[in-house]
Amino acid sequence: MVPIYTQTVGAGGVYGITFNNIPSTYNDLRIDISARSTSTETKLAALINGDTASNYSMTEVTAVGSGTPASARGSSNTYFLNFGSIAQNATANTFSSTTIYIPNYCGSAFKQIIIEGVGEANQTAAPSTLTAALWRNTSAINSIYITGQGFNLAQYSTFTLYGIKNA
Amino acid sequence: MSMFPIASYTVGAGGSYGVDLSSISQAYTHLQVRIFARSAGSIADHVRVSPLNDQTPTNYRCHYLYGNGTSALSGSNQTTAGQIGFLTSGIPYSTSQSNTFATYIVDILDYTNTSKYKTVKAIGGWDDNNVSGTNANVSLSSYVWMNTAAITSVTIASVNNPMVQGTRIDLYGITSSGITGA
Repeated sequence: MVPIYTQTVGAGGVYGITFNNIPSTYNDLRIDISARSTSTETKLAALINGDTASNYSMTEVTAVGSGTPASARGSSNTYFLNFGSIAQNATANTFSSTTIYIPNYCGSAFKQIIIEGVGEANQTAAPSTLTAALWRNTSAINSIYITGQGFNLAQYSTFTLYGIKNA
Repeated sequence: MSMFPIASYTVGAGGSYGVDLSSISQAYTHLQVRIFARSAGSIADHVRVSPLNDQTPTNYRCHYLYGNGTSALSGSNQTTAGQIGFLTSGIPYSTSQSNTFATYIVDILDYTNTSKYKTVKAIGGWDDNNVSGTNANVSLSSYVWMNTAAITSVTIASVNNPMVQGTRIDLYGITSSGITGA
């Protein structure tokens, strides 16, 4: 596993981050996200290769810290990653922890994506998710854009893209 | 390469409750613990992964999402002493299917960052062909350690009984990139 790119949000925050020019020399990708929001909204969104069309779908299992987990499926979405940061008004210094796996990102099949994420902020109602997502495109992935859904990412949020090569 | 082995601990004959890993290098960005474990006891047991230098329950808040083949459940609690850092799915025990161990991957992002509380996230579980019934399960569990101090040591240990020979605990350091790709 090799770190390709890392971005750390500075003072003032940023609306989104982009990993451009992703090399095609690996087999799989992994993204680690530690994020906080500058608003009470927390869900991130991600796009591949700048694709803003309805080419994404997701199946999610989510929990909020109590009760029966929920499962939902969305098709023909315009983004993937419906999760991923801690709210501005949550306990200070808390950040989410999310990992995204994209196997075979340069292959000729549609791109399957697996996401595991938690949002620990010293609250009873803290979200967690296991998500399977699909990008219905056979192109190799060369860029990934991650943004808040209508909010800025807070200082100290970090995003690292890794390439994983098989034997 | 970005994932470097820091320490590895294998339980020998006679069993062991686990290990305290101290003086963890601060040269990495993230930590990952990989656990392969089974209990020697006759009751369901758990493994915990927690910073060694803080065992105060009120400094932690944990959550879990798990399924046991019959139910899917989620919950939250402020941990009690001795249960800090629980991995919710537990580990097989003496009457579970033989030759069966639980597997967990535990990630701690930005463990040296002194501007952040530390979130520990674990995915894993075990299946034993229904020998243990609903005691075998799969989970996504996590906790926040409400301290901005860098993590310099961790305890990885079973709660109720020693773990058996063949149990393995591996600690890795993961680096990040100096290139943004922006």
